[in-house]
This record gives sequence, structure tokens and C-alpha cells, in this order.
Amino acid sequence: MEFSFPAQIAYPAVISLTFPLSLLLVTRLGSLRSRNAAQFLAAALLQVLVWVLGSLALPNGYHPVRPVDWILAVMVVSCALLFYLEVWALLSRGYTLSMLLTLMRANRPLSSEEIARQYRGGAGLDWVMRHRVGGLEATGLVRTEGGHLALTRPLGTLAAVAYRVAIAVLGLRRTG
Amino acid sequence: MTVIEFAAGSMWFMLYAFATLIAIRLSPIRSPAVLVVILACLFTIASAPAGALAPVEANYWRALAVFLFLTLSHLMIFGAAYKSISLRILLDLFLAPSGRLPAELVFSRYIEQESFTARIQVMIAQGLASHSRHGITLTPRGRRLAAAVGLLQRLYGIEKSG
Repeated sequence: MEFSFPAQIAYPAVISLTFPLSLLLVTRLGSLRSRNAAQFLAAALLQVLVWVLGSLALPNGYHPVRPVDWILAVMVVSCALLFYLEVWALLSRGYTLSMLLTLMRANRPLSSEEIARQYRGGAGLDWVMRHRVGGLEATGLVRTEGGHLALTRPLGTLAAVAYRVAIAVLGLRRTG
Repeated sequence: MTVIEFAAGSMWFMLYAFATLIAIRLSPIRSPAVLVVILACLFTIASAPAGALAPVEANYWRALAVFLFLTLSHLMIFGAAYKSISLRILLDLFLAPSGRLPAELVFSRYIEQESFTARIQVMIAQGLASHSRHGITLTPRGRRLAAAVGLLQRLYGIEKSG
């Protein structure tokens, strides 16, 4: 293999490094305050817009020409977005990290019950359940029926089957 | 990008995916999440000497972009499958005879007992927290991590997480 760095992936690689700044900018918008998923989506769209417009403006040799060049550039930009999404998900949704923050803010040893009660600034573990079930309902995967949770058909069932397949393919024994 | 570059990146990814399967099977006591991340880093580092030795006419960086894209997609799916409470709820509803479960049972089983207790064990096992007779407290390492996370959350305006 030859190791010369292709000029066509230089711009997507460089623009990917600036994503934390785009995200920082978007989080300053009052209309998106506390909407972490929407903030990431808006920053990602902004990033893609800057990348596409920049790519079209670059001189020959630096911007993608053939469809396969665009596909490769999409892969480079997607790599960065997937990485930042992982970090953002941990920061905004991380269960274990939130427990660490609960312990830090308490500034004293806590029992398991106290951690559960003080979780997420006093919202408690109930919040986790409401949040996760609310998300499943909003996406049409689950519905609540008189104190019961039920899988929707076909969407919820398909998602559960896909998850089961993923567990088998990935070789996982324990989940959750 | 040529077909050879795409094939080289894809095949290196297939090797990585196979290695994760073997590693998870052979090391049941180690965290699967840690194993897949370590292997992803090792395969990325090893791709340079492997690329230098590969007798093909291809550009290393293009093949690496393909490998990294597939690997990060794999890590995303792996992370969701391994730790997502929502997906776990879906699967257990699927396995329930009537396809439904009492909401209280789901809460007590997955949120209070399995997930919550498992995470406390993880924090202690990773040296982030310790158990004393007064309760659970952060270790200096856990305090440093929590402080760094708190700082990033403040910077990005994340008011509450979880």
C-alpha cells in the first residue's frame, strides 16, 4: 500500500475536528436549551452543510469529483460524527456518570437508596423509567395499557427481534 | 476510492469483528465494552504495519477510512446492544408470553435491581467508588472523572443527565 495522504480527504478530516465548536455554538441557542438530542442533530446538520459547501468551493484536486470520492468523504465525516455522538450520549445520557455526579454533589457517602433518590438532581430513578418508556412510546415501539407496557406490532416486535439478532451476532451474554 | 481499498478496509474490519467475538467468549469476566474498545485501538494501530506489508496497489488512508467507519458503526451498535435499558425492555416484552408486562415490574426489575445495582458494582470494580460502613463514596479517581464530566456538562450547557 502507499501512504501518501489523499488531498480529497484532507478537508473532511479537518472539518471533522471542528465539530465540538459547532456543537458549542448550537448549545448557546436558547430555543434548543436542555434538548440534548436536538442540539446534536442541529450541530451535525450545520457541520454537514459547512462540509458540502466547503467541498464545492475547494479548488480541483481537493474536492470529491466521482461518486466514490463523495462516498469516501461521507465515511470520513460520519466517522467523526459517530465518535462525537458516543461522547455526547455519555455526557447527556450516561447512567453511570450521572451516579458519579450524584455522589460528587452529595459530598458524603450515600447508601444505594440515597443515590436512587438523589439521582439526576433529585428526580430519582423514577425519572429513568419515565424517560426511557416515554422514548419508546414516542417512537411507537411500546404502548401503555392500564399500568402495563405492551410491545406494538409490527414495529416494536421487529425492533425486539433485531435486538435479539444483534446480541447473538455480537456474542453478548449479558445486556442492560 | 478503489474496490481494492474498500475491500482492504472491509476485510480488516471483519478480522476485528471476529477478534471481538473470540475475545468476549474467552474473557467472560472482562467487560465486553472495554474489550471491543481496546481491540478497536489495537487494530487501528496495527493497520499501518499491516498496510505496509500488504502486497496490493491501494492507498492506506482510504482503506483506513473504510475500516474506521465500519468499526465506529460496530461500536455504536455494540454500545446500544450492551447497555441500553430501552432495548432490554423491548426484548423482555417480546419474551413475555402475552407481549406485555406490568410497568411496576419492569421498573423494579430493570431500573432498580439489575441496571442500578450492576452500575454500582461497575463503579466499585473500576475503582471509581468504594463501599464503606457509611455508604458508597467516590475514590479520588472517581472524583476526578466526575469533576471532568461536570466541567464538560457546564461548558456545553447540559443541565441534567441520565
